[in-house]
Amino acid sequence: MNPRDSLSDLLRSWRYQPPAEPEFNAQVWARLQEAERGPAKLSFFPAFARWSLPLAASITVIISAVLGSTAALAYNTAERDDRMASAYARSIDPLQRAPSAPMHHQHRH
Amino acid sequence: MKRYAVVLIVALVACAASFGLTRRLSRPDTGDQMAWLRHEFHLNDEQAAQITQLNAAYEPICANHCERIAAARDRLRTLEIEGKKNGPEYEAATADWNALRAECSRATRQQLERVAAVMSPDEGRRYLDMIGAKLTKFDHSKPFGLQ
Repeated sequence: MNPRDSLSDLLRSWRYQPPAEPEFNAQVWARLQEAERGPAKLSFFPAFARWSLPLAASITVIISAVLGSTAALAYNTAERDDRMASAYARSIDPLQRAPSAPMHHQHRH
Repeated sequence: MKRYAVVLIVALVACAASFGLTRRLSRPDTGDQMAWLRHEFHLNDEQAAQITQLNAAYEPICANHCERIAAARDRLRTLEIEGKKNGPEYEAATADWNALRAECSRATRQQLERVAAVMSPDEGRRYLDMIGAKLTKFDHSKPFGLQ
């Protein structure tokens, strides 16, 4: 018997026997359905990553504006307190209240 | 990197703009002194009434001191103009002026302490520190105190 003939017979008689996969059909259908629905939606973290920069920028700008306003209010309050304290001190201190004409004018005339 | 720089610049502009706007829109109210005192030192009605009374009682004393200070200053100036700065009259006027300044400073300080005594201890201390720092300092090294 020619060895080439026996190989040919063997190849002719060979059949692929795939392992049993009971879920195969269900998995194929699931993949088909998923493909029909379109691309998967972004999960929380990728969505967050997409919005994080504009969000951080907005928060930074808002905080800066609030800080500016707070600083201005504090400055105004300090300025008012200083002015009122000076006016009050002047009202009870005769050395500040007493009128005093400038000396230079009197020397000139 | 460029995006971060833009955010930083916008934030700085927002900060400066809100500072300027708030400064402009909330101009400090410089109205009634008693209202300010009441608010600043957390006075109740009774304390405010007592302080108003103390201020009213002190007003004629202060006015009298003002007149005497003005007269003493005038006297010193007149003597200076007349070239009598080295004479005994000027020396006497200077002594009077120093005595008057001491008297006025003492009276003002007493008034300050009377008002502080009406307030709660903490507020009273704060009042003495805040207003005391604004009073004319009586300094013997500068006897004339002429402005």
